[in-house]
Amino acid sequence: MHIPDGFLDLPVIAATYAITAIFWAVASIKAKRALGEKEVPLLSIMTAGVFAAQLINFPIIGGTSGHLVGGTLIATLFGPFPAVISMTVILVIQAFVFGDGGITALGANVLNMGIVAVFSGYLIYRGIAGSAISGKRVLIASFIGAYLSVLFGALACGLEIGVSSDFPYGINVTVPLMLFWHAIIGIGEGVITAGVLGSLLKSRPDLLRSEAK
Amino acid sequence: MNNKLAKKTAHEVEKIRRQILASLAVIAFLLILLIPLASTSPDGLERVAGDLGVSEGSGWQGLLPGYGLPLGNEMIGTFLAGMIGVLIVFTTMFLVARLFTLRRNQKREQE
Repeated sequence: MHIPDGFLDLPVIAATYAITAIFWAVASIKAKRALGEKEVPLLSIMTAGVFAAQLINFPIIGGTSGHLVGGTLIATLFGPFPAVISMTVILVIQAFVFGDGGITALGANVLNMGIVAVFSGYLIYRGIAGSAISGKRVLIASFIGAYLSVLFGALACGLEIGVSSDFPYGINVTVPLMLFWHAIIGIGEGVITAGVLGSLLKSRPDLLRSEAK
Repeated sequence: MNNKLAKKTAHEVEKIRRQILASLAVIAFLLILLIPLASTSPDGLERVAGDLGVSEGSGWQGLLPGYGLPLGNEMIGTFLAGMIGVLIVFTTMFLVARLFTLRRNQKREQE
C-alpha cells in the first residue's frame, strides 16, 4: 500500500503531510506518557519485526500479493500513539533507505498505515475486546481490528490517489479497486496479527495488562 | 545507588541484551525461511495502478532500491538488505523511544 512518487499532486501532498505532522506532534507528546522505560526494548524489537514482516509478500488470488501493515499489532501492545511513532520509523526508513514509498508520498503513507490503520484497528479492537486481557475474545477482536484497519487504510489511499490530479482516475475507480484487493489482503493482516498476539500473550500475559492504563 | 541495586540493574541489562539478540536471531531465521516463499506479485496498490496503466514517477530510489544488494544471488541480497533494514529500524526505534522515556526519568531522579 506504499504510494510511490508521482501518484499524488501538490495539494494532496501538502494536505497529507500537514495532517500527519499534527499527529506526529500529538503522538510524540502522548507517547512520552504512554511508554514505559521497560517497554522500549520490546517496542523496538516489534517494530523491527514488523519491518521484516513487510518484506514477505503473501500471494492472494489473481497474481496479486499483500503484506502485513502491522499498525494494529503494535497498537494493541503499546497503545496507538507509540504505534504512530513506530510505523513512522518503519515508513521513513523504507522510503529513504529502500525507496519503498515515495518521499513526496511519505505524509500520505504515514497517514494511511501509521495513523488511519493504527487508530481504526486499535479502536475496533478495544471496542470488541473490552476489558478482556486474554483468550478468544482478544484474538477475535485483534483479527477483526487488523482486518478492518487494512480496509480503512486502503480507503484513505484510494481517496488520496483518486482526488489527486496526477492520478488519471477518480475516486469512483480507485476506491472500489483498492477496497476490493485489500478486502482479501486484510485477511492476512488479521491472521498474522491474531497469531502473533496469541503466541506473545502465551509467554508474556502481562503485555496486554499494561494497556489498561 | 547502592551496590546491590547496581548489581541487580547490571543483571537486568544483561538479560535484556540477551533477549534482544535472541529476538534478532529469530527474525533472521524467519527471513531465511520465508524469503524463498515470498510472493513477487504486485501488491494491492501496485495491482490497481498496473491494471489502470498508471506508472510511478521518478523520484528517490533509495540507497538499497527494492530491498536488494547486488550480490548475484537475489535471495541472499534480499536477506542481507532486509537484515540491514531490521538493524536500522531497531536502532532508530530504540533511540527514539529512549528519547521519549529519558526526560521523564531525569525528572524522577531530580525529585
